[in-house]
Amino acid sequence: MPARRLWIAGLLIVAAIGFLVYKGLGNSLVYFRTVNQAVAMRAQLGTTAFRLEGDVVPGTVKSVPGGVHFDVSAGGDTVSVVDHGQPPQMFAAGIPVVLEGHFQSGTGGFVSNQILVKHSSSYIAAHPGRVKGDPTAA
Amino acid sequence: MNPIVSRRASLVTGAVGLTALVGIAATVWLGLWVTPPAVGMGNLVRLLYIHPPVAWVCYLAFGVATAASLAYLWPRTRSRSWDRLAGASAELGVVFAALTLVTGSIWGYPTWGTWWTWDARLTTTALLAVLYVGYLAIRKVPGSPHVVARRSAVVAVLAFVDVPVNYLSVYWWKTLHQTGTVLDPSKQLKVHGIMAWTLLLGFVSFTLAYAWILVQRYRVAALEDHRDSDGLTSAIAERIAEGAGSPTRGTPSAAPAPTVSTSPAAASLGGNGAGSLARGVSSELDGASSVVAK
Amino acid sequence: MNGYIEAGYVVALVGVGGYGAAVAARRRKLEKVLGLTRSHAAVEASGRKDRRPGRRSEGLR
Repeated sequence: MPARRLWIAGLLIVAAIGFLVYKGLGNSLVYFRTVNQAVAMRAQLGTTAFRLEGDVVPGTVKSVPGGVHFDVSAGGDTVSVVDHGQPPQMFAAGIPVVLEGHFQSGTGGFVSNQILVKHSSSYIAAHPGRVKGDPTAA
Repeated sequence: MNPIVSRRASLVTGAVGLTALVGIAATVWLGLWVTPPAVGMGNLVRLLYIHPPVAWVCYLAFGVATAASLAYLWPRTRSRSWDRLAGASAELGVVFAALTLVTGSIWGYPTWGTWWTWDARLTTTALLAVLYVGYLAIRKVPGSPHVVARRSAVVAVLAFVDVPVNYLSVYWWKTLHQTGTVLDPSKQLKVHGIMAWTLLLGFVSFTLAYAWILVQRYRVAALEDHRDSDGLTSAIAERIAEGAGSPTRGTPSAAPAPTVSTSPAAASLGGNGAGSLARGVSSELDGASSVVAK
Repeated sequence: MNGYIEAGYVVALVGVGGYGAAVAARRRKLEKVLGLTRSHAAVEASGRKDRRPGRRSEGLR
């Protein structure tokens, strides 16, 4: 009986490893395309789903019924985006975001169904010298 | 051969444990109440003092497991002690890998906007956890102690390949996960002042907690081996070994370790168990391996 | 704050602390079963060997 349990555990582990390697090779190596890369291969991408990365252009963020509208830019190209999801609490103008969605046929805009905030790895004190009670803190 | 861990060794281990406890308490206090919120992240920055240290211990634990496995595979240093150390450290690594994934997920939801995404860093972290769960399962596959120890050691070394891949994934591929926390590629410190000190304290404290738990887990393994093996036979084997004079390390004629290594007595012949650890801790580890009663 | 941070701290502390405590408890239990308790070590260290119980018979039961 322990031998049988070991076989089942072994099969589950091998299946998990296989799944993760498949996910790793299939998905995470090209996790996103930057705006300029995506624009360059727009014809190829068509309306297939992919992740688009760029900075939210300040001054372009507008609430629209059922979502939010803004532009993202990277490498000199800009794409206009409409998102029909809940923007995360750290979403703001000027920050880099990764959008899950696809190009719209015709208009050239990008339809996003999820905004992911790609924050940098620098951590700077919001109020040096001040310890607590930052009203803007999340 | 003292079957009981020396007083000095348990004092050192106790001091390590106490320091870890105080250090983690201080990290929590500094992390939650003293350090300032950060630009952009606000208070969400506070998981910085927990998640990277836990992830670092996960790397360290798998690194120790791999080094101990290599020491077992190399005939001159082969000893049951290394096998036990590898098994103990890998188990800690799996626990810390799970905590890395969970704390990362909890941090990811409010900052990124998702609990999980299949980027290279996250995927290879999950893979790392599953690989070493597989290693722990391989250790349970029946066989003679040496065969089990050897095949587990090979698996541990192979699985470790994922550690550098995981570390470098954020530089090799595009990921949602940010790049290295402490230094950027140009070796510039990216965290400053009290935030940096708290982060450093977190790294040290969780590393000490790892060391303390590792000693406990190693001794559990040694005691289990002692309980499961025929205590009398190993005691006789040890007597014979003692009678043959003090064993010279690495001399094939004196040390049956490369072929036998089945009893704790053989382990104490095969070489000094954990020479690379702090002296007191190492003597506690050795005390455990020579647990055979006098 | 907002709950996520606190939850992250609690998970890490309970995880590390719980695992460490469980392993230490297992160690103490094994030492007791095998007759290698700390109190024996203390007795031995103090040199009063006459008061040390026979740990072999106790341990291999």
